[in-house]
Order: sequence, then structure tokens, then C-alpha cells
Amino acid sequence: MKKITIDPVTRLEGHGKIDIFLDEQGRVANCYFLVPELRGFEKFCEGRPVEELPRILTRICGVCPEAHHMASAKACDAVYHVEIPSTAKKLRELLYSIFFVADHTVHFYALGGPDFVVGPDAPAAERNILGVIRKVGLEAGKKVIHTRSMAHEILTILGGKAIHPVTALPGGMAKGITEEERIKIEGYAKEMVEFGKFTLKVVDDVVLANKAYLDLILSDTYAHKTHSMGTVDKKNNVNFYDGQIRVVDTNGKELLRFEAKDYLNHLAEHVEPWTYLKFPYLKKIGWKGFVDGPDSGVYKATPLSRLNAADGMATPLAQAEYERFYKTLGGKPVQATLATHWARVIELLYAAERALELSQDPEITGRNYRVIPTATPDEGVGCVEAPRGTLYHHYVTDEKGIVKKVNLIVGTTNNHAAISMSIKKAAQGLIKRGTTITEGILNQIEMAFRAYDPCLACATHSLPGEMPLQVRILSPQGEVLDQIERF
Amino acid sequence: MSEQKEKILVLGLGNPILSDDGVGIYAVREASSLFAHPDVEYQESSLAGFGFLDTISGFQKVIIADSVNWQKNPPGTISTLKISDLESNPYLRNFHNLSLAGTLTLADQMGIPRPEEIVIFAVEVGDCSTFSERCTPSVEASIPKVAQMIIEQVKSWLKTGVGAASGEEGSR
Repeated sequence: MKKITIDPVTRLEGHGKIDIFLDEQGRVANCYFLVPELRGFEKFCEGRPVEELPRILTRICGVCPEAHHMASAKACDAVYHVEIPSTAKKLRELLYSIFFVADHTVHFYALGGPDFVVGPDAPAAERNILGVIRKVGLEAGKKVIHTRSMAHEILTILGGKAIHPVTALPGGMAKGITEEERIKIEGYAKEMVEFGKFTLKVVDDVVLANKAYLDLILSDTYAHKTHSMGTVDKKNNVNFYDGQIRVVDTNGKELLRFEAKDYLNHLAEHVEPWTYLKFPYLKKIGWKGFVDGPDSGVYKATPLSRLNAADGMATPLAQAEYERFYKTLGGKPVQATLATHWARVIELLYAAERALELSQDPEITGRNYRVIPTATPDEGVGCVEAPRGTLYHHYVTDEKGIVKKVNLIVGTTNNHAAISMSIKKAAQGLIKRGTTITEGILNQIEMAFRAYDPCLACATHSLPGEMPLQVRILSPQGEVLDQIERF
Repeated sequence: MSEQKEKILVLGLGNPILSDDGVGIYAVREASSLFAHPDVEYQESSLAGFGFLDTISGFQKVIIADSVNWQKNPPGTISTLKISDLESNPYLRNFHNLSLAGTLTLADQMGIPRPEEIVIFAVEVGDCSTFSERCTPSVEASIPKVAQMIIEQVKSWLKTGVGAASGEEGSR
């Protein structure tokens, strides 16, 4: 077999490698997505007071510290059997909604967007945020930076610290907000709603108005029929902070609905010899290999899956956009991986609208934001929707609250099997016998990967940055035929 | 000073729970315990990309302490870099696909106030794949050296007119 390696996958956090093996005829035989192993996470956590984890585990990832902070605090609430006050819950959800606005903004404009806004075949040097701004206009760039900067300011108020939030504690929040702060947040949230609407217009004008792009999104090369996972509220609307986990099948029918604490009853992890990273799947169906369809246990947990797994959005503008999304793309569920980008922007608008609602909630400035836990700690699961998928933190402690065991399923890990399958399918669609492998082709393979916004940093528990991903093409004998390294 | 940002930012980058990856953060913590000045702010960050732009925006001069994984020098080797050194250096270019130099270009295009000068102290790492709040011995030995280099750089900037008041040794 011949082998192609994509290393690094650009515009993604963390580091890893895609190896593409060709058969004797020059067709794609197999693809492997590999990430380096990090050691000692369990040992690092064991023996610490559990209340330290919400602060320390924000360091797992340089991209979504807020997601780990929230999941960890919720797991601590569960460990201590404490119900947090309504104000605390609203403050957490407000913080989390603002984080979603900021995170989804970066993905659309800096990571995923360049493929559509600048074009999948554009030179790599232009496929970045600077290229996007050149295309969409300087004003758009200013809006992006302004939105980020507003989010940074609000997260500093709510999280207690500029970068790594520290305010969520077992039992609630360490601090509340003043009326003056609330007014500031409300003003910013209003601007964020406008920014969400603006970004959807960019999707309309640049992506949907271009038939070639719409065809690309809907092409079979980028489609997988898998089950969809997401957190929903009581009305089956998408919720990022709290609710029940719902899984719908490949036809959009409810397959599972469960409390986060029962996740081990519904999810299991498959292990492959070529990677230490695990492949979660639905226990009810079982692991049937890297295959899609209704009989496979493979599921996805992405912005697209969250929309598929829900019946709607809880805010009016996002709901209208949700309806237009399914109408445009041919009904539920949508299985086009590249439509995840559009779904992400709908979530951005929802997060902004939700932040605005919460900022106007009379309880948000309440002073009752913490209950001191009194029960004996033992075990708990905390779960939120991270931007990249459902995030589970599961802690077991002794009776003094000292950590004995930690298990995490991070957003990207949910999608590990689907990502591997998407890369393979895109590679098979794009590389045929005799194909000259160009930078553009490798980028289109990467696009299948990038739609998931994979955070390898999270998946490997490592800091992103200096060692991105590599793509290599290998012969059946393992000889490297081509290699692309982009940074 | 309550409303206005200090003029010099000393920023430790890295992951303080991943062995040598945290070296920049440890060096900045040490420097901040040895030298304080009203015009100097110490921060640490494990954030990539835009988070970095949010952090440095508004400061006049910035010192960054970070780890590098060039694998060309023994662990613990300290290099001093300027922004101009980064353009051609792939290993420092992936701030969420926004290189440090690219981040500054973006800031210029958007009219965001950006530092006029950035100095980077980079420490070659050994192990960045084991969870630990301590560096490996050879990298750990570089921490006081980097802290001293930070303080010298800060003092030299203060002398040439950034800030007015005098510093206090060991005041924290």
C-alpha cells in the first residue's frame, strides 16, 4: 500500500497526523488519524481535593477552558450532592453562552470559514483570516475583533479572571454581578445578536449564493449517515449548559434520551491498536467498525448533530434560522458534514440571544449564588455541550473529597470514529488511480476533518500550538510517497 | 493606574500542568516575585490565537516567555527572539493558524493598538507530554535565568522612558 500523510492539519488546535495508505492501483485503501500520547493524566488528578479540579482542568485546553470549567464544576456539584441556586445556574449559563459566541466566531472566521470565503483551492497562504477579511471587507474584520473583545471583557467579569475562569465552585459561583455590570453585559449581548445576524448574512452571501459551494456541501464525498447526539431542554430545544442527552438515529427518530450521570450505561469506547485515542460508540447498537448507517454504533456530537438531535432552538431568531436550514438542505436530519459550519453560525446566534435573555433576567444580579455543600462527597458526573461536542467529566472521591478516579470524554473524542470515516471517504472521493495529489486535494481532504473543528488539544489533553498535523501518502509497503507539512 | 493599562506586559505562555510546557509561566511567576513596578503587568496564559491578541492589545512593550520544541538544542537552552525572527520559524507560527507575526498584521489592519516592541525568551523543552506541575531538571534550571533576563529587559525599557516611577526589588 502507498501512504499519504497530512501533517499538519492546518487551522486546528493541537497536533496530529493523517496517514493515507494507497493500494497497488493507487486508490485509497485506508486512512489513519493519529495524535501523540500524553501520559499521567489520571495520576495527576488523583489525590487532589476535588474542588481544585474546576480551576486546574481549565488548563487541559488552550481553546475551551470555559467548557472544562463548567463540566468540572457541575461534576463537583454532583460529587457533593448539591443543587445550585437559580442565580448561580443563570450566571454560569450566561458565562457559557458568551464563550460560545467567542469560540464559534473564531471557528467560522479563522478556521472553517476560509475554505468557503476564500475558496478551497486558494493558495494556503491566503486561506486564513486575513484572506477572509480581504474578501468580506475590513468592516467585517473589525466586527470579529470587536466581538472577541466584548466577550473577553464579559468573561473577565463573570469568570473572575481574564483568561482561565475560576468562579464556578461546588455549590454555585464565587461571585455575582452588579447592576452596573449587568447593564454592560446586556449592551454587549445586543451587539452580539447583531453580529450573529451579520455572520448568517455572510453565510448567505458568500456560501449559499454560490451554487458550487452548495453542491460541495451536499456532495456525497462529505456525507455520513450517523446517529446524532446533543443536549436538549424539556422542550427538546438545544441547550449548551444543561438538560438531557438525546440521540436521534439516522432518520431523525429518538433513539436514546438519558441523564448525563448514566452516560456509561449508553456509551462504550472501542480501542484500536494504532492509536491510544478511543472511539466512543452507542452501547445499544454496539461497535460494528468504521461504518455508517442505522446499524452502526457510530454517532456524532457536533453543532450539526445538536441541531439534528433537537426539535428546535429556544430563541426566536435562531429558531427561524433553524427552520430555514432544514428547508434549504432537504429536511431532517442533515448528514452533510460541511453543513456543520452553517449549524455553528446558527448556534452562535442562539448563544448571543440566550446571553441577552439571561442578562435581562431579574435573578441575574441576585446575591444568592452559592450553597455551601454539606453532604459527604462520593461520585458525580458533570456534562455540558462543548463547542466541539458533548463533554463529560466524571469524578470519584473518598469521603473527604479527595479524588480517587477521573474519567473524561471530551468533545472531539465523541467524533473520533466519524472523523476517521470522513477523512477516508473524502480521500477516496478525491484520490483515484493516477490522481496527481495537489495541495488543493489535500486541503479538500482536510476540509472533511476541519468541519468538526477538532480540538486535538482536548482530545489528547495537551496544549495546542507548536506541533500541528502532517499528511503523508504511503505506498502499500509503507514508503512515504508524498508529504505535506503546513504550520 | 486603576483605569489605564500598565505599559509593559510580561506574559508567560504555555501549559503549567504539562511538565516543560509550563516553563514560560514558571519564569514569569518567579520574575514577578522579584521585581514589581507600577508600569509592569505580569500575566500567564495557556490560550492560543485570538486570546493572545486580546491579551497583548494596548500594551506598549511586551516580553513573552515560552517553551519551544525545536529539538536542535539541549533541553533548557534559552534563545532570545524578536518578531522578525518568527516569520521564517514554523515552530512559532501556529497560534490558532494565526502566527504571532500574522496576529500583529491583523491588529494593524484593524487599527487595534499593538505593542511597538515584543521580545521573546524561548526555552528548549525536553518533556511536554507528561502531566506534571514541575519541569524536568535541565529545564527547571533555566527558570531563574529566564526570570533574570526578563527583569533586565524590563529595567532597560524603564530606563529608556517607558514608565516613570522606580521599581522595587523584592517588593512582592
